[in-house]
Amino acid sequence: MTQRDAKWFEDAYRTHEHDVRRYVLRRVAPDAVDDIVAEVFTTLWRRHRDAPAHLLPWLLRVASNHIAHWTRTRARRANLDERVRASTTAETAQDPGQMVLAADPQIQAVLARLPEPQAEILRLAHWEGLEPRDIAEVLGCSANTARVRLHRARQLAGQYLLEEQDAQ
Amino acid sequence: MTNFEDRMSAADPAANIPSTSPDVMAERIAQITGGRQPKRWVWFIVLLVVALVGVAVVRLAGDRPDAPVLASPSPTQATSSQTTVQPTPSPTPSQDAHEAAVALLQAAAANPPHPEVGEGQYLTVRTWGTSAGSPVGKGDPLTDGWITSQDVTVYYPGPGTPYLCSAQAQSPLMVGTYGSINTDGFPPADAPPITACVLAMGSDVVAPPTDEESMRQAVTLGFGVDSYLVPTMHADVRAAMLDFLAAWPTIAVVETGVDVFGVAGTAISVPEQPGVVQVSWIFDDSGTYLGARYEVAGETYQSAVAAEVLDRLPDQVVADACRLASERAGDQFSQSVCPEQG
Repeated sequence: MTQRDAKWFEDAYRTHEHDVRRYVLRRVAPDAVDDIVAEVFTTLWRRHRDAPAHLLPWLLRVASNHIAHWTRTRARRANLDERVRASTTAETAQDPGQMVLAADPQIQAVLARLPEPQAEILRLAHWEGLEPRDIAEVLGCSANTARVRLHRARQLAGQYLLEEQDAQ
Repeated sequence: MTNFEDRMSAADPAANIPSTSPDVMAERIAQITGGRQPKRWVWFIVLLVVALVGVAVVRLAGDRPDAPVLASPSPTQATSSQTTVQPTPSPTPSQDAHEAAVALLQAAAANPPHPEVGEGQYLTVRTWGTSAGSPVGKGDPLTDGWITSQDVTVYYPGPGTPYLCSAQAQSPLMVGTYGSINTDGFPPADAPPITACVLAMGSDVVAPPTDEESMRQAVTLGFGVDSYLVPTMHADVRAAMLDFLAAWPTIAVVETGVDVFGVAGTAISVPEQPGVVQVSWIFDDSGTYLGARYEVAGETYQSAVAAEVLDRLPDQVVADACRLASERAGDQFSQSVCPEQG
């Protein structure tokens, strides 16, 4: 078994930092990316004994948890700001869900129409490039479940895309 | 590949971000690994010593005939149903305080608390605890996740009824059952009052119930420990908190995934089926946090939101707690969930 020391961590960081960064960037405001990526790898450092050999899905799941934390913190702070100031700044008024925009407006529209779990599984498959088994690891479900969900999401997304095209 | 799949892949907004430079990577790796991974046996010895000191401190505090130290009531506090404890000088979240928090939690775990705040009494303590929602301390490796001094208002309506706990700069009104401020129900004058409120403040709605009856009550109300926050704590505080929770026979602490802990047996009310498999957070369209959803053994449970919980409490309890919260911390504190003041 590989010894999990500082060298192991450094290798893991160098191997996966870019993938984790891209994952985070697709889901939060750019100004939060560095903090969240740092949190993810701090978690890895702290929990290196628990991390599996196949590391990327585990890291993405950690990132997902930190993003949930960040999203909630930001929402709470925005609400507090609203109450205190009776007005919001542009930053606090941002909806975390709207911070990541696909480069293709029709695809963006499709993702916005999909239920979030289905949009997320499509992002994991097509942007993160994960196989159903790894998607399952990130989402905490079985590989079969991930496969079925991905299939349904693609079907629904394809249908929505046709509707978007017809509408224009 | 379908038209959709092609276009989805091409629409990746992060497809072309540049790689982090090797120098920056090296700097960030050094920041993370820089001497913050002590050996486990060191932690064990430190925690053991701290726990012993903590138990001694708590016992001494409990033995003092004049504890707690009561402040002279202000005009607004001078009713027979209110007890105010003068806040202790605001502690800086130092390593000492950090260790003291661990000690108190461990002491509480060894000796589950029995609150002695009288029925219908209020208690205000200055304390500090964990909160991911606080901007205070964010980014500091030592204080991250900690709130500096907080005035926490606690109202204990009576037996079998949840406490109401509120804190400045936190969620508008935290409602929950929890143990006590420490084992004698009041903070010792010379120790940071932390135990229960670290839990209450660490969760929007809950902390461990104090006994079987309040456990049942908490389950009835649908509360749960806000599991997401646990991983934001320092590892040793988290361990102490989990030990504390584990001291309750009806609570099963379950590590649910990579870095999320669920506490089965509270919100989900199925202590015989520990195994939280999914925790997700629910927001409404405005981004307001509504609660957590848990999937346990194939069934979905949802924690109650504060406003819903308040709806199920006696009106007078809510009114009293909200009034007190407003007095203590201003309107911004209680607006979102408290009924409008008549």
